[in-house]
Amino acid sequence: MTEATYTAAGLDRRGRMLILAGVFALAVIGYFVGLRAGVPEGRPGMQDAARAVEIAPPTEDVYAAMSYADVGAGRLRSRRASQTWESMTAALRAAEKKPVTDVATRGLSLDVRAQRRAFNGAPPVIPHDSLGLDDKACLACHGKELAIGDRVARALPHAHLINCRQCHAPQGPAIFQDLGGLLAKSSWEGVAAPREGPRATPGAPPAVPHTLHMRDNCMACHGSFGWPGMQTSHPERSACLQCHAPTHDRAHPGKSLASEQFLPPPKIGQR
Amino acid sequence: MAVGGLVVSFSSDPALRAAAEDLIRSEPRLETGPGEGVRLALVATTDTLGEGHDLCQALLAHPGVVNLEVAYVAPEEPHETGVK
Amino acid sequence: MGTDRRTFLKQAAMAAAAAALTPAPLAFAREGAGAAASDGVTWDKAPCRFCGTGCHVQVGVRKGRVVSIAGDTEADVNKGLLCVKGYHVGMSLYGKDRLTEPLLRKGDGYVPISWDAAIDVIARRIMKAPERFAFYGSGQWTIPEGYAAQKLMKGGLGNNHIDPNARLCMASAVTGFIATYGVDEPAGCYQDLDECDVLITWGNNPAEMHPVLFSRVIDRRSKGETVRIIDIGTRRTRTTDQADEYLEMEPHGDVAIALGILNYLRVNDAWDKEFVEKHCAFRGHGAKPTLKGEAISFEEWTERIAKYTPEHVEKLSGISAEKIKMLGALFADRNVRITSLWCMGMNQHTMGTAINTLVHGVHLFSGHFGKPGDSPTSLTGQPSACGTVREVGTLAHALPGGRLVAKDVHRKQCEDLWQLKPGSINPKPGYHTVKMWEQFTKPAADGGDVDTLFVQVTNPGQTLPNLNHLFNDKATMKEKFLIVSDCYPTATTRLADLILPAAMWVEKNGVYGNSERRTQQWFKMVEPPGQARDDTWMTIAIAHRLMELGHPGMKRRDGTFLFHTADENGKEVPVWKWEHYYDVNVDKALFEEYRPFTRMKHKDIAPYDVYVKSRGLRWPVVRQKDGSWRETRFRFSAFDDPYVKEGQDFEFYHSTSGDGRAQIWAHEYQPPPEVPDDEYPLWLCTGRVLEHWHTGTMTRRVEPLARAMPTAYVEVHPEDAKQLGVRNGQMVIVESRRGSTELPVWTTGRGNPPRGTIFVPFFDETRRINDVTLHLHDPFSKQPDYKKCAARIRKA
Repeated sequence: MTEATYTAAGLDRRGRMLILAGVFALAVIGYFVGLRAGVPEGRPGMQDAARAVEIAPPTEDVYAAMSYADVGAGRLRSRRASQTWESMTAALRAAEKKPVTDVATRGLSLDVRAQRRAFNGAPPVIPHDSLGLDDKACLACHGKELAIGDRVARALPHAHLINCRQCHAPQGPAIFQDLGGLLAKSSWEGVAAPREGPRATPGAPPAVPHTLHMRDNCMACHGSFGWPGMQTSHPERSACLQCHAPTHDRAHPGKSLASEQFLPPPKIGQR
Repeated sequence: MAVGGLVVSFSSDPALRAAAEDLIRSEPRLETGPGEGVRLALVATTDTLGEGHDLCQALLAHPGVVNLEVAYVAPEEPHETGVK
Repeated sequence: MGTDRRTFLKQAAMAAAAAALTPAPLAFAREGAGAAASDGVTWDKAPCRFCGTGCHVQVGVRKGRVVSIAGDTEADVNKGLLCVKGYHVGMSLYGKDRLTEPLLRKGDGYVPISWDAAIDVIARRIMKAPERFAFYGSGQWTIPEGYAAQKLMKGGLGNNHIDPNARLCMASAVTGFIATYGVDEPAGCYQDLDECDVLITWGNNPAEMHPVLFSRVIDRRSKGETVRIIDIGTRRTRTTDQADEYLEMEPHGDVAIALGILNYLRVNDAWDKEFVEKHCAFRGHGAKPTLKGEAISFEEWTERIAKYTPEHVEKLSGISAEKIKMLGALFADRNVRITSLWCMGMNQHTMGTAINTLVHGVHLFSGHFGKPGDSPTSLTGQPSACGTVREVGTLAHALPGGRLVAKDVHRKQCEDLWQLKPGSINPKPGYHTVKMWEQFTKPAADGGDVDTLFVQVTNPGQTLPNLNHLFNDKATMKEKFLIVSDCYPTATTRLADLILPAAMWVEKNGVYGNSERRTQQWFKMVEPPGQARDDTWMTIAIAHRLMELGHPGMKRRDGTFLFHTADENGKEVPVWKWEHYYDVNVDKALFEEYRPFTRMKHKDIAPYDVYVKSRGLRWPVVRQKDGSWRETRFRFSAFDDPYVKEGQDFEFYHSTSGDGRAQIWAHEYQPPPEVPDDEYPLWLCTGRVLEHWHTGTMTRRVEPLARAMPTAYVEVHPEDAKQLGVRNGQMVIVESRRGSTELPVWTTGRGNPPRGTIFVPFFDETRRINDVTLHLHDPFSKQPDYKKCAARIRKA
């Protein structure tokens, strides 16, 4: 399976059938969306990458090969390895693609997106194996957007906070997959993502339906590498908030509207 | 006896909203007041605060009700001020 | 009720409802609370439930349930950022197996009983032998919870057997501060992390344990600033990944390293003479070691540390002499700002008090103190270890506000503030944690004089060291009675005789105090499930039942109830009855009662309502002429601390030597009490991981976290694994002289221990590493060492 493995509704191991159904659904989505909506398990595409760029041979010490027993745990923890990977991937930042803007696809993308969050606003879990990768490796792919074949690594929507796994939970180590026991059941029901931004009048530019906190880079999700169906039809315009108003109906948490918004009005007495 | 001033927010789904409005009209302990958009002012009159609380929970549980805000509560006995 | 009144009320209700229709500010909205947005979600602030960092979250509530969590952009601590636990903290309320009714043991199982019956059972057990009752609490107690427990025990029962899990967590930090400054808690604050040029992590892995604080440092690099990180530790961690310099030491090497830095500064005449001559004095142990030691001359001190040359330190610590000189030269440089961070590595240490004083000493002796970015900073692991344990003093020897049970004047002050009869408080310190559990799990016939033990908000059945010695024996001891209040079934409820379902986090009002002296308040936002109730209520209800049963300590001098609580009109509210508990804000009442205690040690806290409006304030919070309340970021520094005498640049105004000076200590390196040998050849270190908080009772019920880290494991160096013939993922038995547990091997794990060291996290209740650890502790703080003991591995 190639998709994120938990849903907001909560799953336990006995819910595997559900997961399988979900995977099937996502495969269908992938068909519509024109990409496999998640980042794949393992590292497919790396061979393509190797062909596409020329890698400088190591000049200093050579790293010893891993023992086969450790390969499953996949290690790539060295600064030099990250640097090599970074230089490799830099060459793969492909030319921009034609934006996908249709509403049906957006719905499918929203569903995929929801698979990776416990609630709208939660940082998404890492949908692919990341064991042994350090934070520099995260940024090698996600520092800027990256597409390898039909697979996309989206750019960070926020500034480079470099302690990536502080917020984004990884997949469990593969070697512990069957050791965790049954997942505890939860009755959690998180808030869902809005389907679209509100419009003042039909045809008006939609307002931003989400908080802008931790979302400095609109193009991460709405550029041509962004979520299909949520991509802007007018990528040439870069001042997004000029037309798309932030909705401050407390979508921005922490903003209290309990205080008065205006100075006291004039006191008008009897004539 | 307890009296509560409530504001109910309805779902934007017309069918669900209509069902919720029917429920409110059929509930003798509720009186409706002015409305604005999806929000409607209500007064609940119940024998006890607890009953009022239950009534609110029942309203909240209705799929046509998105939110219920309590704007005012007068308790059973004059000296018991406030709910919490 | 007359018809007129009814009509009037209805009109008033309708007017209020109509007014609330629009615009947004709602009649019921509290200050600081957001109103409901168009999606029906109402937001309000709360500190995170987990670690001692004290991030503020915004909690989204809809239809009486938490549905969303966001970082609070108005919070100074985290500035809108959270960690993976914080983002999912709301989910920890909704595990399907929440405890929802009181359960009394009957044979091998339990029967549900009413709350009245449960409170009665507890009160009668206490009544039978009040001096054989003990209360085991927590650094996760809210300030009012800890204060109520403290008052019940020390004031009401005259019984000092109350101690918290924080004894296992930061007791050595407390003794380190007291031995150095004469008063507890850090002088600096998190702003040091924004301004330091060098960060030294002493046996500390903030990248996983205090990730938001660590990000505060490393995110500066993304902005183009330079911060040098020096990681001193016994194993490579995610913190090491970001470090410029990693110094891998032998366990206990930190004591030698700190002594080596002091000696380097002394020998090279590179210490800050002006600062030391004006503000410091020298201390060491006399013939009989005590917490406060005795004054020694500078010459005597010099002589005592003289043997810690770089070469000698290299032998003791495993860090090369060159690197010791590098550290010495670093502290000799007055042009860089250095912040030291530490947490469990230095606290869970049989020389915990000593190493804490030595690191303070390094900063004082070199003058790297009291300026933003120049600070020795100790972190806490629990959300209110500082607020509830250290400030309220829920320790066996302490009274609120830095007072001691052994001091006549302190007892009298408390008896007056609590309006108790003179002599109510017992002058003899009670049992500290290890002793308390030893006495509880020892048969009465053998002198085990604790019969009934009440545990609130913690999980000792998983966190006590050497569980086979301190906890597991309870299983067969029918005459001992264990009462446990918790939210979920745990390793502790497993052996409980009475289980009480507790409300948690935003299911109740609360106040916490974080690592940087910041007091933080929140309101109840959702109802607890089933019959779960507040821990403060439990304590008050027990006290009231004791009064009904005739316990004289439950009445104040004027004959009123120990927890007498009145409404605005002065009328008593029966808060011991759950249905009336929220008629008034009991948290506020207890907090206001506690406030006067805080002034003696200049840890002044502001009125409750001031905290309602803030994202926490750092004490001392002092009222200004204009009526506003001002917090203090840097204690003892004249530029910020209002209690420093005019004309001074620094003043340690609770100095042990009584002259405004801080103490620079000399200590003698001692090896750890248990070291690897032929039979048990490996060092065992324990700790946490990013995804799980402490014993995982909350985070393991949060799906994204449970999936990310499903099981505990044992980190083994690949070469050691090869030698043992075990592979990644293979089950092994980790054992010591005290016990064993079964774990999968991870040779390529989160951290990388060196050869000869293994590491096991303690979050997993099915693989309890504390069956293996050692319960020996520091002589002053009584805090056990979970970081080093001798163990071995064999194939399962």
